[in-house]
Amino acid sequence: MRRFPKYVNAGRALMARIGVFICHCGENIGRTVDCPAAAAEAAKLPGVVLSLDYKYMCSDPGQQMINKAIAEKLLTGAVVAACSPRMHERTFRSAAAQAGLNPYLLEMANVREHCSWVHSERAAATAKANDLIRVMVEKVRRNKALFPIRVPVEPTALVVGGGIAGIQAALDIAAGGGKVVLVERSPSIGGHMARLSETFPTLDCSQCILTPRMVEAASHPDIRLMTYSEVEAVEGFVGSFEVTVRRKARYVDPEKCTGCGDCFNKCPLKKIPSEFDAGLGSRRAIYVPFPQAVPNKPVIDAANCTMLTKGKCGLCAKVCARGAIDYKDQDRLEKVKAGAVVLAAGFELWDHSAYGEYGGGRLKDVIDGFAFERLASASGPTGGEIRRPSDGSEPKTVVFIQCCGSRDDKKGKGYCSKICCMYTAKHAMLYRHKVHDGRAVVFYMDVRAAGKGYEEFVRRAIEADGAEYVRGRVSRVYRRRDGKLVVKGADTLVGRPMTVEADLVVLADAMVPRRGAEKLAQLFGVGCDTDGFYSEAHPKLRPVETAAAGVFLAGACQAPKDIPDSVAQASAAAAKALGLFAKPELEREPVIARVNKNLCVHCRACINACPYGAAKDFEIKDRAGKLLRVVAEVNEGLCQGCGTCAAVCRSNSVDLDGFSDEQVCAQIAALE
Amino acid sequence: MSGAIGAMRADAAKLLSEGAVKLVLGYCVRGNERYPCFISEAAQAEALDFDQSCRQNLAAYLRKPEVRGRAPLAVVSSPAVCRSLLVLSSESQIRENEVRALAIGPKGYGGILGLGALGAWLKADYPDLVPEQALLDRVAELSAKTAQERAKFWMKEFEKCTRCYACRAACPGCYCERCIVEKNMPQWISSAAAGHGNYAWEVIRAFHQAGRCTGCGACEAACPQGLPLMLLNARLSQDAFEEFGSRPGYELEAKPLIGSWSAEDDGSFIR
Repeated sequence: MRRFPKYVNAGRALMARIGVFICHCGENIGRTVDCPAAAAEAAKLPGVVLSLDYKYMCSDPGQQMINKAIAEKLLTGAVVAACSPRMHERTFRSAAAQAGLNPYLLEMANVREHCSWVHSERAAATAKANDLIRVMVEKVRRNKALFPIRVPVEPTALVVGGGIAGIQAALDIAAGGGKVVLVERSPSIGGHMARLSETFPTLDCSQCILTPRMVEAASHPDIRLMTYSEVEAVEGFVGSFEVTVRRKARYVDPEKCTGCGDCFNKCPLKKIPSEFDAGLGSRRAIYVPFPQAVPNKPVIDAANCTMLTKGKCGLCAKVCARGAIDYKDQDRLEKVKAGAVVLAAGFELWDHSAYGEYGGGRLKDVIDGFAFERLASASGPTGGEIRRPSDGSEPKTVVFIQCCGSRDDKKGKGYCSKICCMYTAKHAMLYRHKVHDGRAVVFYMDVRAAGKGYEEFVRRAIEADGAEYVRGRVSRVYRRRDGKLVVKGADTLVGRPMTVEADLVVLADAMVPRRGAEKLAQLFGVGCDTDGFYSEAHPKLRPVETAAAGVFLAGACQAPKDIPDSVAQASAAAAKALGLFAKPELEREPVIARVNKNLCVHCRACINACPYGAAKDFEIKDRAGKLLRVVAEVNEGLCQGCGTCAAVCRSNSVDLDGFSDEQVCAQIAALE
Repeated sequence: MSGAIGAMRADAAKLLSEGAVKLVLGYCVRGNERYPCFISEAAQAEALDFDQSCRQNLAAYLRKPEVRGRAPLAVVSSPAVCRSLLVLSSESQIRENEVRALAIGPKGYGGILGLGALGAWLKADYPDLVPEQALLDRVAELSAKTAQERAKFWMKEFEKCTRCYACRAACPGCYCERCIVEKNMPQWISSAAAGHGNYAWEVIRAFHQAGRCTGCGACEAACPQGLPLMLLNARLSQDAFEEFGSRPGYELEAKPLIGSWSAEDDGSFIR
């Protein structure tokens, strides 16, 4: 909100002179509520000196009406009866400020969402609109001028998630002059993109384009990597978050370790399935997830290492020339200060074992997309050769099944996972490039290839690379005694059932939020939709922001996204963070709680209840410094105005600016 | 019991003569009457007495202005009073070095206990201070009725209230310097002794005790109109225990039931 130089009226110095402005919102309100009648009714209310209605109050002429009224009628307060405060409160309060009225002396009566949109009977809706306006006039009569609270901004961004979205956001923020702390749960940054073989639609090698970015992020002087770390707790608010990060025990001192690899080459535990290779390859108990990992320093997997579980072995410590292994290493908690947060928690694949008809996750040769990526990757467990996981033979027929768990609100997810059409086309193409005599059959519901070069890419898979696209669902996949997978489906374009004998089946599993993503969202006060994806502040106009100020979203934690979309959103989130950092101070809404120190008996209920740690002990001392009493006090900078303290205070010693007891009581009384 | 009372008198006299406390809060018994008494000389300790009819909760005096300035002091404490002391301590109303308990109950005299030792004494000898069965039966009987029947019952009971606030004066949990009922800008609770004002007062009084009431019964004993206040208190205590496992007054630094939270709280009902 812009600065407002001087105020014609500051609160109740004058008798209340309130203006009521009723908006038709085109037909939205006017269709159901008789706005001129409501204006006439409002004009009769005590303290109201002016009551107008207009087609679009938020438009320029509408705002001019308000400005003019404030100046000419010397208004001490205004009620705009229109849409929700979430929509336009800021608009109208800015207009009021321009005209010299303290913006907090203007309130919105929501006669759209709370009235016209939910009612159809005109007379009753108009009566309700009258009530809503009367209640707000009563409130505004008791409003006080409030002034924004200024808080300093810490120009550091905390980026949670070290996949491509997190890396891009970190690089962009650092390039813009901000500092970044990049927290990643696994031992290396890179995320899922590091596991991909090639990327659509250009088939460039994923590692070739990603790993330079990873190195850049690690070596940037303004980016601090915190790998193998998780966010534990969050305090503070936009401009000055204080985030507690759990640095998990690595058992390897990254300062001493040179990454030579002697330890993991000698580790006797060789059969641990590699998460990075989707379980197709194996790793040791001390390991780096993949050779290009950043940082390229191993960690010990405490659940599997026999030295840590049983106290036997200790081989890695013996072979480490630098003495970097420390079996007594423990988790540490570290506090990080940040002015903005970018959540890039990423995604994982839906567990297709819910589909019993596709083998329920028990068939070895029915794999998910990541497993196929690892098979096709030159750095994968097969060195880039497509092999069946069960017997290592080269599959001659591969069936790709799309929409596995997507667009299925019965067993799976109702949404489209967006990237599967493209990566399945890529998989079919890669397979045909590697196995020239092989047959790639793709079962699809619809091909959704909206994106630059995407449709052309799918056409290329079909036309140039000979992938057989069959429109229809697969009803069943089972393993015949000779090891062949029998895929029974339907070709709905020719209208007949179809059976394919396949060697390998690749399921395009739905994208779902990461396990634990919801807990992370809770820590930051970010909402989730019913599928667990993070909710943006507005689906169209604020797609990067969240309901929590200063917390932005990047990548597939918000919704299924491909790499270009994730990168674009990451850059957008970076721009938002840099926008915050552009000013040394932030202005915050002055809706905060205040403690009446004369009445407070220091029962500490508010201090216990405050979710922001804003309520604290306050010692009242006399001039000589002698302690007289202890009471509660609210820190202006930390208070978010949630009102919890006011609710738990038994002696009613806490009041909320802008929503004071006096105001709320008058509003209720106005309805009697 | 007489041995216990003798020991309690001796301890009170000792504390006063040594100057360890300036004041002892206790009970004296005259005929059928039990009075709270305030003793500042060791010689007066002989007047102290205790039996099951001493229902005034002496912890209620600790926050009164006349007593507040006279720390350190000792309080003759029945198990219920001990719990009230711990509630007051967890709400930062009394400090550990200022108050000592002469803990006494049906199982005998527990000696001079600091606040830190009260929890252990209570847990050892009185781990389950539940209301009498007769009261629980009446709560169950009332709970079985429909909401309308209950409202009618309470409306009738509350009509008797004269708003003398004896219940508030007797309760150690009611230590606010200005009670919500006295707030008049705005006035949420009508101060007229009738109708909805009474209803609002009684219900708010009861809710302010949720998770804090130690079941001492002082409020009901103090009520000149005989309102069954413990019915409300016991029901709330039952809910607090069954739903949230809250048993106030067993720990020195317990978080309050209402107004404390953790990220692990069940939030499934919010959606």
